[in-house]
Amino acid sequence: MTQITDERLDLELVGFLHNHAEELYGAPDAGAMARRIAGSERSIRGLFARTLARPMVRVAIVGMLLAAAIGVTVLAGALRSGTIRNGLMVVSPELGFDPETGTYSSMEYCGGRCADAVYAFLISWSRDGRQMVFVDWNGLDGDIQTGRTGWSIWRYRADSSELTLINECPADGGCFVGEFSVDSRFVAFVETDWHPFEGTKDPPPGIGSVPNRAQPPTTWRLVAVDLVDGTRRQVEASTKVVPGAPHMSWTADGRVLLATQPGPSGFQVGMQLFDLDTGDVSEPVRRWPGAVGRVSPDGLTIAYVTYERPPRGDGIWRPEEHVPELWLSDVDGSNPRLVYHGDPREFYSGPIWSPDGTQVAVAGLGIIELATGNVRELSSGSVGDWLPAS
Amino acid sequence: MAVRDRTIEQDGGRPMAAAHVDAALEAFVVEHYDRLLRLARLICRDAVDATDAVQAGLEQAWRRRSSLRDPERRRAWLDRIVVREAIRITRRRRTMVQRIFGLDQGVEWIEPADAPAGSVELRIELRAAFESLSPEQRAVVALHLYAGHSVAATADIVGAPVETVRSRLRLARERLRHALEEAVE
Repeated sequence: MTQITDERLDLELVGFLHNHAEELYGAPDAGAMARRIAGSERSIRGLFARTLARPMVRVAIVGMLLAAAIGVTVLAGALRSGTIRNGLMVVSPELGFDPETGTYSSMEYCGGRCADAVYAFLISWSRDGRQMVFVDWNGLDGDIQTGRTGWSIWRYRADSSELTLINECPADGGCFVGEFSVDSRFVAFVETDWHPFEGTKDPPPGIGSVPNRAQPPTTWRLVAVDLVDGTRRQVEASTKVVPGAPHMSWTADGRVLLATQPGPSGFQVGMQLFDLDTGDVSEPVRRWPGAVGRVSPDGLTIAYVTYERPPRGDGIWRPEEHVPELWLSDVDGSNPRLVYHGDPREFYSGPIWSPDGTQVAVAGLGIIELATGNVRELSSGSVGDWLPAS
Repeated sequence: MAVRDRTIEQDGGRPMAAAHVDAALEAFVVEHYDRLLRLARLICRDAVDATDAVQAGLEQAWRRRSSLRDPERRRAWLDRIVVREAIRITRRRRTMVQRIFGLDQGVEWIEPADAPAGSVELRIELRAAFESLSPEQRAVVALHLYAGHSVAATADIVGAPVETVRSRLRLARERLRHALEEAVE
């Protein structure tokens, strides 16, 4: 093996670091950042942070917390009676974002809607907001102790606290994404023998060490379970197409749209439409370097992000030439409508539909009102699941 | 449906005119943003995380600016705040959701067509090796080799003993050297 001198190493590293530091696709310019910070400073979150920085305020808060402890029982009772927060976007499991006011708030797992303190993972709500599916795995501490090993998918009813096991996942792998159909009768998820913590040095508590296997994962399948009679339908797929993004959604006619990474082609991400009755798989939108999207809550329209093909069309990704775009189409890809044409070097991802289907949130762009094309910028760089109105 | 430009910045749903933006805050951000963004980019896994880290860091710094008594130390002070935010955000992204669904997972970057011959493989190897480092290791490499801080200043910024920083640098360099040797081979 060629020996690299210290001088050559430093020279190469400095050059590499300067190049790598310039990979800033999607980052706003300084002026936009200043406006973003100014907006945040004026927001309730900014006011809260400034107020909390004062020592006397901290002392007062401790006292208030003690007094508030008495009210916890009352609050818990209110939650059990079905009080539901309205219209928050779940940015992370513990952080909610109100798109109307642009403010953030801490949030209990499952959006504060559960009568029990459900400690769940990969939560997805039904369209009516009355039940959710989530992934559970061995070792989680919480009020729900399944006592099972391995991964499993559960349904939780917010109004009755009823908990139902939907699927026990492969012992040497896991399940990803649970998603209700439009009529909430079916739940779809992805099942695989790939373990996401395989070979990881520091898996989360309870996961334990998962050694690297000699052979790569061999299977993944899209599964749908009928919540009424428990029957199961599935479509097997090869590992040449792997689930690479959390976008799963149902069409009104009962097909499932899933964002996938097609094989070893790197950056490409695409959408595939699975018919669970026939096993047919189609690609409603075929665009380079890919298209990622979701079906609307009514199951009739896909919103997807893709990139305008530059004039050269030579298959080389050049962020300064590729312009992100937001499109709508029917679920079979027909009737495409351009909604928003971005700027070069911007990077959009994660179109999330508002529960009423009138708006779409896109990371890197903001919330776009589909009827008018107006865009409201988000003060966060990411978007998450948008809880349905109660 | 018409294609519309993004014409207006909004605050809480209300139009926010650019003239209302605090001029002092804007000057503060403009002065430091580009440098901090590039520094954070070396620690974070993508530009979105780097932007979040810089935004959070600048917000903190702006609120606490009166606590900085020595203006000469402003750069190191800002570096400290943003680097620690970048590490925190990067570690947070290593949660299960991000590990499974991060779009950057398994991404093979497509190099520019005009990259010098022979350099593509080397950059790919270096990038893979650099991104396999821990956020703390990337931080000390970025602060020392990119931002030009001394080892002692780097230790001060990341809040670790000098020996720890030296150890992180040594381990990082060994891994990056190995990647280079593999690429040159």
